[in-house]
Amino acid sequence: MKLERLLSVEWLALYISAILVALLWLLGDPLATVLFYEPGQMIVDIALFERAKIAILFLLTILVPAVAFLVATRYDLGHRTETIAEEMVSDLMLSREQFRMLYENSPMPYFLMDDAGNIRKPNRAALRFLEGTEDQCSIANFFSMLAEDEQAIEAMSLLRAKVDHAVPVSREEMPMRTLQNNVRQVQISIYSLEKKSPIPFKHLVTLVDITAERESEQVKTDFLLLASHQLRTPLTTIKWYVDYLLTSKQMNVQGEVREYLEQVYMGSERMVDLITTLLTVSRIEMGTLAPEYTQVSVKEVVQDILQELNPGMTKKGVTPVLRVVGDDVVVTDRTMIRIAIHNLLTNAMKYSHPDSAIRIEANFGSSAGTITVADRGLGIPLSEQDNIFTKLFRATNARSYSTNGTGLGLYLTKSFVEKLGGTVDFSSEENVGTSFTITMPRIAAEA
Amino acid sequence: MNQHSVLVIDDEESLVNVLERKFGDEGMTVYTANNGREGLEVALREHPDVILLDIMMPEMDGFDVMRHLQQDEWGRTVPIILLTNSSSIETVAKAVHTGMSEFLVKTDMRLDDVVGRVKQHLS
Repeated sequence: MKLERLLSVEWLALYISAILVALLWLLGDPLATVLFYEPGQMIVDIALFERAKIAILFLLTILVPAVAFLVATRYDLGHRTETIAEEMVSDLMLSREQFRMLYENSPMPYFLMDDAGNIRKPNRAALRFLEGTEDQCSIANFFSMLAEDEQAIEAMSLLRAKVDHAVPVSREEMPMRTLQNNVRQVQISIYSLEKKSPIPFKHLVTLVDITAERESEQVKTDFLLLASHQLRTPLTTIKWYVDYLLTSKQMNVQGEVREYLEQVYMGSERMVDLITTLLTVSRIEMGTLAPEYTQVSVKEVVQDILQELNPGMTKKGVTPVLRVVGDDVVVTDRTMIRIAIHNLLTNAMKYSHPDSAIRIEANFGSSAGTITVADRGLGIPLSEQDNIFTKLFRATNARSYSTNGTGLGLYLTKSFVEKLGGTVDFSSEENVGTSFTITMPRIAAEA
Repeated sequence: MNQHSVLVIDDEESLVNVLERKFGDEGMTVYTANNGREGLEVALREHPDVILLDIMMPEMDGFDVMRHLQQDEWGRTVPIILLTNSSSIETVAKAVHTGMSEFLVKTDMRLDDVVGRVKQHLS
């Protein structure tokens, strides 16, 4: 590098100009004589002649290197600019080739598409996925491959609208039919150049085949459904026969027998709750529980739960106080948010001191909201608070207070709230009370 | 006396028996069937006032029974209460599309609740 710098044009110019200046100084006398006197003319004032000579030599000493350097720089700049331009073109060609190879050989299917859905430049993975040749793809229409059923038609219309307005499409799931008429479940992502771009095939489409995943999920779901049905059926038999014995006038069951049957009935109800909870937990852990987003009034959900829990709350003398601030309609999964809040309210009711109040406050802003459930009651021991959301965990004081409880309620609440894009926090003091707060977006990100 | 009638279609015989006793105690005529095909035959023959229909059954499931009933003039009008232990969202959605009147999860109901819902459809 140093050698290159020493041999650079600018430095060469300086070397040459140094040599020139040295020569000038060596040839100073004859040069000055030629400049100031005619041939054969005598030097009259030698002192003046010497001063003039020195002055000119100094001037030339400064000028010659300066001019040489400037000329060299301009030359080098021009040469360098040319070299830079050549290098850029070469880099560009190389990048283009690299890009072409990456595009062609990518394991992800890519192809270009115009506004109408016509396909161009499918890469190898896209040809394999679409099960056709390039020629076949060039006459195929992407939108025609979608829309397998009513639901998919609606989703496809929305997709088309996004494409028309050059809005990015990210991982939209829908069924599509390949050129060989096989149905696949795909995730579609589309990146579009801006609408006014003159390029016809301005949409880059990428597909992810999730058929195997969805089939596997379906197998798990089918298993859970079957397990749910098979576990619940004998329980229903127990419940209904005991119920009949307890309610039928003909049976006329009294005394201890009645008492024992009531215990059997309550036990079977707890079993049903446990099975439902366990199956829900299984679905969460298998990842087969997908939210279904709709507009939900949080106030209505809370009021519905309070109505359900009213008998228990009245029996204990616990009074719910509900306050809602702001627009309480959010886009979320109704079932999940109901279960999440239901668990908090059930716990609040269970562990409240008798004749106390449960404060439920919902506060909604433009983009997010909080739902707080606060009780005056048992509280959670400080040493156990880190485990409160763990599966099957019940605090020691809760277990002593009541044997009822699966230890899954708060785990479910947290799982559901997080699935909906929110968080759950709490604060608690033993023998004083506990306050849980759900913070959630007004519109779930995945909605 | 104009007695109301109910048809219970469920492959779980023990549940059919207890429902038969319960509705019998309420003074109703009870028809029963243990699979979808038999249930459809009884329904079209006896024209009960209400049908209690399980979903998961051998030979013909509850959805198929409903589809067949929809093809009959009387079948389109009879109240059908789906009484099942399958409570998945997919099941509910499918049930809605097949034109049921009501969807009840067995384990969540007491016998009196089932009777109450049936009586609502009779009034």
